[in-house]
Amino acid sequence: VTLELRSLRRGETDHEALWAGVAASMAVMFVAWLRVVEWPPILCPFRVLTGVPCPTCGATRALFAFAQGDLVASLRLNPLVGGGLLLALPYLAYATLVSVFRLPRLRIAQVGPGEARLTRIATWVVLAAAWGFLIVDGR
Amino acid sequence: LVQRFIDTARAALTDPKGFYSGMRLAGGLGPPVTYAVAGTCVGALAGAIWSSFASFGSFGSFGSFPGAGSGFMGTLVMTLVFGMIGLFIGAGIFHLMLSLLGAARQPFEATLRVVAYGAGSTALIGIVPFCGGIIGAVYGLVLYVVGLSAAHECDTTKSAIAVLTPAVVCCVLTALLWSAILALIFGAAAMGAAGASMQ
Repeated sequence: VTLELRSLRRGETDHEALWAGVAASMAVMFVAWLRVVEWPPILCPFRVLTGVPCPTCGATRALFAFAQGDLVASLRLNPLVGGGLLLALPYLAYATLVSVFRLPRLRIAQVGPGEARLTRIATWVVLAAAWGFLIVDGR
Repeated sequence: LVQRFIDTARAALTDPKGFYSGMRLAGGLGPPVTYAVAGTCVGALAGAIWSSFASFGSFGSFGSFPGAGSGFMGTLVMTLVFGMIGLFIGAGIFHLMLSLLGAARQPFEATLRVVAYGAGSTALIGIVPFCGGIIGAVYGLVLYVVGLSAAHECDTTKSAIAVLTPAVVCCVLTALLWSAILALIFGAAAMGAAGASMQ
């Protein structure tokens, strides 16, 4: 994998500004959700039908735990969501910084076919492991 | 401008394969996102009108938004905000799925264009009273499958897996959808009972 630090090209998608904006909007919606909306308990149809949790079961509780600073509980409630949020924080800090100060962006310049394949397999393994943990942990 | 919007919607809804085959894959996110916003505005407006006619309040018994202005405005604002966030998140999930299947042959912008034109067009089906939103959501999945297959030049099976797997497996959204449907059904039943007792 070859990484490069460069300015945005003309017409290129500004991923940093895009995802920082989406994250900020979601954070606002989440706060509104907590303060204003009364939601019914969410019943997972996948769990009702199969008896096992779906990969996103516990996502809402993991989000709440993360918002309250309880990282361990967040990871245990849903490793995918807890871990994803944990990884998202440094990316969002970087994205906000480079968007606001118009700094050069970090981009993947080249990925070999073997590396791409390895990344795909690793991602599938991580997804399966996170789901397996939910099933074994009895969520 | 309105005529172009109508022509685009008609082409996407009636001939999705032809529409997405001829769609530009680059050129900035502005035009497709603007199209999606316009379509969502029309759909949300229609949905809010039907919702206020049914006097469910905002989102029926599903949730209330007193801070956002209950009823009509609440439904309108929340549909727009959720619609726009969902557009980017949905495109991100589809692109991730395509990447995991080794089928993402175009950058993220192509996926976002497919989702934006699909969402903007199917949101218009929300004009149909009550069931329009559900029909639009289901037809939207069809448009995404066809569009992603055309844009990324991959076979339809892979694009269908990319679109349907999150919908089937990631049940949070599915559960929210079913909660909304159930709220609608029970709300209608409660209204019917109230109407009968008044007579």
